[in-house]
Amino acid sequence: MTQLFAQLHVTKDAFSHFGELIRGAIALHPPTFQTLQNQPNSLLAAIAVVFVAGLAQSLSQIVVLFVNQVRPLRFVLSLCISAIFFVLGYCFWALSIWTILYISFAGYLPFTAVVRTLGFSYAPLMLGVLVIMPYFGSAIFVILSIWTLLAVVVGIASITTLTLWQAFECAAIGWIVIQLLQKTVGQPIASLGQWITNWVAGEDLITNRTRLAEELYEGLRAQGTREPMRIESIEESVRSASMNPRK
Amino acid sequence: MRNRLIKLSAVILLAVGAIVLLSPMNERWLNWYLAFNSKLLKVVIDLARVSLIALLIAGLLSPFEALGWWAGWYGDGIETHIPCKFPDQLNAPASGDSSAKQPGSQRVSPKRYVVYLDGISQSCADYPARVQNFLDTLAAALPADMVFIQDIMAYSALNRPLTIQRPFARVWRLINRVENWNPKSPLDIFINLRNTFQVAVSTDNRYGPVFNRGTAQVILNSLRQRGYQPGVPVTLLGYSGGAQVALGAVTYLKYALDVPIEVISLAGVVSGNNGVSEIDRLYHLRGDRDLLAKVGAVMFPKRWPLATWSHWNLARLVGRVRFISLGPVSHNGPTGPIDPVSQLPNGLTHLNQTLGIVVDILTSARSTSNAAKA
Repeated sequence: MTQLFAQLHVTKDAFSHFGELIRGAIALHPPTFQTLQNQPNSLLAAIAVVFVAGLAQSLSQIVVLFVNQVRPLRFVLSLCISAIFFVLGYCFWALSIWTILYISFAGYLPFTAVVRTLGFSYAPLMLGVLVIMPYFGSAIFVILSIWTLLAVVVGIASITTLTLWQAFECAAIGWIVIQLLQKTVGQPIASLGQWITNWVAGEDLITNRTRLAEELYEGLRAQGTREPMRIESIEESVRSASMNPRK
Repeated sequence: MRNRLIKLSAVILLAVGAIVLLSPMNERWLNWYLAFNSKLLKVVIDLARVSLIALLIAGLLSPFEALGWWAGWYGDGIETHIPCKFPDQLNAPASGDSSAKQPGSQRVSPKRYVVYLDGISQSCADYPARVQNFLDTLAAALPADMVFIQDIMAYSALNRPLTIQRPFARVWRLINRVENWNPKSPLDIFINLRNTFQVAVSTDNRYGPVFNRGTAQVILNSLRQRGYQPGVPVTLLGYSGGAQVALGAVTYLKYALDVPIEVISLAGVVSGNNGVSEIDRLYHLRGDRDLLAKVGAVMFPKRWPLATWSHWNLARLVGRVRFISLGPVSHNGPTGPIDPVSQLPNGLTHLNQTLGIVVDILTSARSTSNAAKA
């Protein structure tokens, strides 16, 4: 049955049944990851999945942009830049996993196979737009992250001879390596990334949670001790309607 | 550390459960109704799906009003004026001020400001008859030195009614017209859902600070319009979701005014996430038949007795949260806490009981603050 499924899809362009592949990846369906490998444009499709996932993922950070009062056009550009960085991060993780697979577990495996598989494993994160949902968004984010990890594990296991646990170890070690690199030799790259993000946003973005919260208190104390409004000034303010506390 | 581990385990279990439930891509269980071969059932299911999608989109868009306000995307900033009802009252400096309603009485300097934040059925400053009756009766019962403010749009950081200056203003106006014509119409559920999402925004750790800052600004503006003098204590009276909005705003109001702030939660659905640590006292008035208030206590983990470290439970321990039972009273409507007809076993109407408790709280708070000053 699995072979039949693979044969059916082997000559199809990945974009022509993109939705089907996404559903298969979200359903953690191993044959989907196997059929991907021989399909035309599947590499591009995998990167497209990661970009969309990155875009959805960046929506979870929109509060930072709003609190920093980024203007609408720069806001959209910032989301795109964030998605591009997300794709870069995915490339590094793919490289890390491929290296570990090559060194310790499965022997030689084409790098593009890992890139394709890992890319489509990000499919659950395409639902990341749901993270915007108030109150439930944070829980949805956790669910999608765990779902993606499971997809990565199933994907790696289905294109190699590894068991699920070995695939998990491989993904986990790859992730730890990336984290270590980010904190050490990756610092200049991270700084460059931050500089680009600030440049696109048009200001030095405040990302620290405490400082973001402090921003919201700006100008409040002065308002509390201000003289009461006169009636004429009420009507004036109704006309001018320029009461944004930070303007 | 142990508590964090328990929380993390619970979230992971929930996540794995959801994945197991959803991962076979639902084809079979989403299309179960096809087995019945009924067109009517198909239409009903399709309608339900469309409604769910619309609900989802409404939920996704809900944080943007407050966030866009803070970012200055709407240009105008906060509305300090509600044309729905307010313009003819602009000439009266203290509309809603109980002292201003007594002809011939001399104006006294306010000793307390009371701000009313309505429940989730609010769409403009024209309150439903039952609520308006409650507000009028309360305004008349308040001492002359209290200023009663009752024109705040609790679910908008822009203080903007649903019925004007919005893309769907016509829809909300239509719903209001239908509601006026037939109060039993189920259309008000759309207003309730819209405002429920704003309550969710207020409780959210990410958006809550911005939304609550916005409502605090609206309250501050309103206080200033009514001649607020620094140092005068404030009481926020929140009905249903209005109680959460009140608690959310407390943190910022306390910082801005530096005065004692109390909250009276009337059938309130409050998260216990924010504001509780800043508050001087929260009076939580709840009916025994109030299912929504009970759901609120279950829905928000910070209110679970297990969460001993939460601000809510710590405030309860030191007596800053006081629970007051309203007896066999439900959340709203003819059996709700502000109904003037329904009677309790002791012969009091629901409205009179609630009024009595609220006025008692306000007057005892006044005497306490007077004693503190002396």
